[in-house]
Amino acid sequence: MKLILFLAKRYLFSSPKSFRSWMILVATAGIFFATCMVLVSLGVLAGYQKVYKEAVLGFSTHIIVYKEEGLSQGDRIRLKTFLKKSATKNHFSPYHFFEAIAPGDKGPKPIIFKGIATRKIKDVYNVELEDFETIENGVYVGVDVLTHQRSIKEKGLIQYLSSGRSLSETQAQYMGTIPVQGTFKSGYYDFDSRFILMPLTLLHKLFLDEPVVSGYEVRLVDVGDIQKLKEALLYHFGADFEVLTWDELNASLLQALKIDRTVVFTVSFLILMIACMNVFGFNFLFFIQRKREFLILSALGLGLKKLRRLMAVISFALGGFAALVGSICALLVLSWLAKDPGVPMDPQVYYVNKVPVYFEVTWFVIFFLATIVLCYLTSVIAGRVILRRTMTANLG
Amino acid sequence: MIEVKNITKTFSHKETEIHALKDVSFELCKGKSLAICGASGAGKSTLLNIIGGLDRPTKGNVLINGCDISQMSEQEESQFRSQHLGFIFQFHHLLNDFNILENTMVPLLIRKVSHKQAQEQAMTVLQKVGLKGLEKRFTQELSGGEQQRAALARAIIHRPALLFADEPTGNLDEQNASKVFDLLCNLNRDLEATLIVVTHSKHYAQKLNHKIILDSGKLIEKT
Repeated sequence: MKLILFLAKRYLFSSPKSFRSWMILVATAGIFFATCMVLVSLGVLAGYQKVYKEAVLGFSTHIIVYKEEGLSQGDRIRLKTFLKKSATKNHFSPYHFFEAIAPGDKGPKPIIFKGIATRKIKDVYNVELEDFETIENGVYVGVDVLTHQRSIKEKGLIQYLSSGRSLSETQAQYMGTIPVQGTFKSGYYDFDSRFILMPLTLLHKLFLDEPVVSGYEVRLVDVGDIQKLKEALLYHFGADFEVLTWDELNASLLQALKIDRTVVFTVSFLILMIACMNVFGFNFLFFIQRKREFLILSALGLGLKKLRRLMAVISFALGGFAALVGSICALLVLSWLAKDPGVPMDPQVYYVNKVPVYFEVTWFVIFFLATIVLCYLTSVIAGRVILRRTMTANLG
Repeated sequence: MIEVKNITKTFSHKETEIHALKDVSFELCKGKSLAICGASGAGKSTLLNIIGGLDRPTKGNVLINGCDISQMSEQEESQFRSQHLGFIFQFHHLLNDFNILENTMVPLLIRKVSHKQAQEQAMTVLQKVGLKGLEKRFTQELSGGEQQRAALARAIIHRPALLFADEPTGNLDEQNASKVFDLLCNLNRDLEATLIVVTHSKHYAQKLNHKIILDSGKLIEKT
């Protein structure tokens, strides 16, 4: 192995003078760029997946129990009792929606008032809260609603425009204000720009004649208990209530994420293929350039096995170096993207404020090792093709 | 002792067959020298390559000290080459990325001799071929004659029992050619290595113990 390392060192550190050496340099650069590109693309695409999944599935609760026509007082008591006594640890809140319009600097915008048990907000909904001031019966507005109605922060009030208090009345427009306690942030623009979380009692008082409740939202302490609780609910209540789990509720989103994941893997695979071809091309160029010298070494008694080992060492060193530098560059790019402000994006189009990033160090290790394996395989193939018994034709 | 028995070499190209060697046989005793002569395309280099194990015959056998090299595996052949054979080509075929000292050391390093010992022996051999003081230079920095002498040093450093030279003077001027050939003859004498040289030159051929002449792959004269 000493001799192999001695020879490899010399080949690796010889100055590139010929055209073919430049070609090898370009091929090595190709591995570097491919590595960097694949990892950055994966990081950004995984970032999108994570943001959507966390935000949407985070804001959504694990199980929703509801009735089309709303829950009666008796239903509410039955459900509350069941959930409190359930073996699966959970937090729950009643809910009801009321749609309205928020006037803003750029015109009116549809908003949704969601009445919940606000004292359970942190247990049931996965949102970050920021309080302006402690007030009673205040509401939490989505953080992006603030950009639509700038006066909220100054006045501590949200303005809204709703239909008449009762559907039985004339459909006269009704303008009102509600004191704002603070903001919430789910991380998903669609929620953060439209939702206003408020005490259910306030919702009833402001907009409804009766204390209607659509259903209950349940967040489990252990997400693995979803099916267990769903089955228990169905067993206990039969067809009295509709029970939806979060994956059923977000089926279209999960389907979109699945398609997205397939696209990500296909694109990554294609990029990886390009990188492979680069490694392959690089090996061939390198060995064709050095073929005569390898054959001289063979004529001097260095066996084909050792020559192939020499090729593998050179291949490892160059391919590995390019992959390593590419991985480090990708890591730096992703770290920069992850920091604030990153690369800003229009949330109205992409639902996120900046390019989202997610990566794991294991990816880099796996990718680096994959490149090393590819280098080895291509060096073996190149060695077999090039180092056939053609010595006399090349040395004669 | 080298025994070349009924060597035939045929190259196939598309549907045509080219017979480079036809039933060539001869013997050469240990320590003797032999010139292989003939016109261009007569099969001289092909014969040398087959005897040296760089190529395989279509038919026939080559026995070196009783070992049939044409039947050896690739690994056995490489080992045999590194231990018993030395080659000099018309073009020096030195390794460009290595200096002259390192080029000379390579056969010993292949035989797993320590770096230090190889370096010492290489210095001795380089002195013998008149390249002392040039050992740190690279191939491109040497003249044609010096390059061929460096190739000679590399070929003999491991004291091979058999030395093969394929037109070693073909690429040199008269003065350098004479120097290199004399050096080869001296080494044949001093090292008692069997020497086989492919040459066009009648003058140099006469300096060796034996001569064979090939014509269109056939051995037509043996002296």
